[in-house]
Amino acid sequence: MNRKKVLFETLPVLFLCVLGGALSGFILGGMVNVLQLVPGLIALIPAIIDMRGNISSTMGSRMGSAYHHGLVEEGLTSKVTMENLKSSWVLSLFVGAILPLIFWITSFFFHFNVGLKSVILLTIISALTGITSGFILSLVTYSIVMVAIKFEMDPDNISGPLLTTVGDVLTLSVLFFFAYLIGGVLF
Amino acid sequence: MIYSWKIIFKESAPLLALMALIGIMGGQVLHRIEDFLFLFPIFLFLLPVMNGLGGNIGAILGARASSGLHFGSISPNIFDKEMGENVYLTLLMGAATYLGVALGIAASSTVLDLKVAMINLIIIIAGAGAIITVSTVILTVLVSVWSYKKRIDPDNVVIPVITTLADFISILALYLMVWVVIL
Repeated sequence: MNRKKVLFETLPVLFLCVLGGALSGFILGGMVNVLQLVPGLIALIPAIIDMRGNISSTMGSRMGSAYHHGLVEEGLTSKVTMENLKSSWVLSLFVGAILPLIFWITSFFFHFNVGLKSVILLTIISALTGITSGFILSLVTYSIVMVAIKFEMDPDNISGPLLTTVGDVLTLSVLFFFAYLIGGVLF
Repeated sequence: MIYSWKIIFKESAPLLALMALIGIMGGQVLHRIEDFLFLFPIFLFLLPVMNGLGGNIGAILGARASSGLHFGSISPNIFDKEMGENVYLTLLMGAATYLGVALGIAASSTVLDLKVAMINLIIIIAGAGAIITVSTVILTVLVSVWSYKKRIDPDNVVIPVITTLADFISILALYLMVWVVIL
């Protein structure tokens, strides 16, 4: 293992991700109004961001392993890519739908009184955010892996951090958009 | 190693549901300390940065360990030499990045008006960073070796578990450091 290569590939990406993290910090800071508009939204945020990052970076990690096995082909319709994309979409839908449910159930243990209207609102917001950002991120994942391979970098060194960061910024923005639209305009 | 979305879904869905539960728990903690958050905006600002970094460092080690285990260059043993080398590199990465973040944020703190003394800021970030990095690295090694031994694809398991736990640890570590340093 080439120590220098690993550090050389990871450190710049990690610092880039710090900037991305700061950007998410700003978005989150700017969301305070919307957070107060939709009660309970703040409790969903860590989980929603996480899930998007989890789904895309596991796909990135799998594509990385597949690449090391020489299985990755170019093109969105190749078998390995298509199965990975499909799994991302199904998982995004699944997680988007169950998050508010888990939130609702755990709220009883934390003694928060969450009304039915809030739960419905959160379910719609979470599901729409999940599907939208999940779909975009799956394509971003594929692109990052392909670009890494093209530049002869190890996808394992960069796909994880890049995806969690892009995932954070994208998901927060999409969440912000739907929360504002549904919480602020429609209700 | 042939992928099918059904198998990936079957391996990932229960785990993601469990991680969603832990993530929501973290969120409920945030909900609980909401007043504290609005009082110290520095916390809200630092949270995505620290969360992200902890998860990223774990994700790199996780992805490298998974590929190594699949490939056979790492044997499924927590004291494996090649694994040790990866751990060493990850700790180096963690130290370099958190130090960079601490200096960067401290340097821009005058512009951002975070209402926290520069030295306190550095202590908070470095302290939380050390807690997060060390615990993330230990957990990553344990989870990747465990899942490989259980014949579950580490690619599907390690990153979700680590990023979620890293988030939870980050919330606690930051809260602890802010509480110790400022109050």
